Amino acid sequence: MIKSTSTANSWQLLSVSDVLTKQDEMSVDARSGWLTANSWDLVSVNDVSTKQDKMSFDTLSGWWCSQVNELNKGIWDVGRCLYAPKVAEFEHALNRANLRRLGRTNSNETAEPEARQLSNEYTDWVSRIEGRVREFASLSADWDGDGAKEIPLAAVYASLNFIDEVKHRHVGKEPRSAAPSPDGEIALYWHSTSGYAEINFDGEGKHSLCWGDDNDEIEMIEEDGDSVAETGKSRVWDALSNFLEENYRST
Amino acid sequence: MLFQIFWKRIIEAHRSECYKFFERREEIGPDFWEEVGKNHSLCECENFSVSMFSPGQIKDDEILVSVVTSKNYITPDGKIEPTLIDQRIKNGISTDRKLHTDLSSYDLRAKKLVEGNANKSVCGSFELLVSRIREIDYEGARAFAVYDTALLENPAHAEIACTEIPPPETPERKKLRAKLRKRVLDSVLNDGRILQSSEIFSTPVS
Repeated sequence: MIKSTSTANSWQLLSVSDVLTKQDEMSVDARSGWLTANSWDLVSVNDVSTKQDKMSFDTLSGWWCSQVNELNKGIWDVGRCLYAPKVAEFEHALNRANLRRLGRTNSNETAEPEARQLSNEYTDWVSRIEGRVREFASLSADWDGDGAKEIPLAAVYASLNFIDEVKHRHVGKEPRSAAPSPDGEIALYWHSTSGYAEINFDGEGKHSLCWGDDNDEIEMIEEDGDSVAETGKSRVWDALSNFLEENYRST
Repeated sequence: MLFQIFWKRIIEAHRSECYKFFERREEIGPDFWEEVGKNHSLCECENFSVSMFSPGQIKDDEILVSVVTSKNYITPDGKIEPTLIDQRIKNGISTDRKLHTDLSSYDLRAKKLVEGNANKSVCGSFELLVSRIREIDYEGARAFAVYDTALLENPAHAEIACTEIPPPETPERKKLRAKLRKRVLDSVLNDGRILQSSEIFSTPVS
């Protein structure tokens, strides 16, 4: 996402398209804790996090850029950076996802992002689901050719965070898959012969859980806010935990 | 004898009513399926042919085939994503009756379906058993009906329609949506896999 040359100060501007397409080339080295990128220099995770809060997104130009004027160094162009900072959510997603390997996504000029063909590269189930969710970031309006709504980035981040929590608290019971909804939501779902559950994330911070056993009766809880994974505070989380314990075997 | 004549006339009246209602589809416009739900909430029109081009009413043991036009509705391991059906809750799900079509006709229609739309492509097809769709209930009543909406150019055409559509964004709509998604995962034949049409038509129709 952020290109480095010799020092952290020399990060360059990248277009949104670059950000999306370059992500798959980045990963975190588990031993060194360094962010690595093919043909790019190493940048520490800490450096990335530090620099993130100095960046914003210019909706007019479509560039990520720095709020700091380093134009005279030939690197930053502050004049294009006056609009709609989205640093917080970007940083949030990076931190929560621990800069895990990002799935490759393309700007979606067609309904067939190249990323779909690369999904099988993921070596484990969780990574595949996370990779798939990241692909949804590239789905803009009409991604299915039938008028589907754009998948908001907020829904992508919320889904990634949620998968992260499930991964740690319900080992082996991660969702069967993640699906984009034409309503502009992301659905994570569990399906087995004994039951079905799905949690839907929209772009406004709402999430809803629908679940039922094999008799087809569906129950539903809807909540607002970020508390989805707070045990004892989130009814959604508690209900899902019960469902997973009772109906879902480890993958 | 008198009862039989009386009963026959009642049936004929129903048949005629359904037929005429479906003939007015263009006139009714985009809310057609909503109107069907309001006027025929018991799915009684399933008992008759609703199109002059139809080879006959759809039986429970028939298989429907439908094309997937976006890869985003296919899981990385090649299975159907249940959200595929979401968009069509209101608009009806267009399918073909496997018994009454063949590979070349099906492929031709699939190709036409994506023509001129850069966001669509023929990504594969899936099969559904009619009875599994008709079994879905909501609040104690049938949730989906399957009608033989045959067309001049496609006598095998059939549609799955929601009988009563709760308003969008409501808990009722979300529950119905979840129920349908679950049933899609339960019901799609071949373990939910999206297949090439040649694979689908190489197997027996029932």
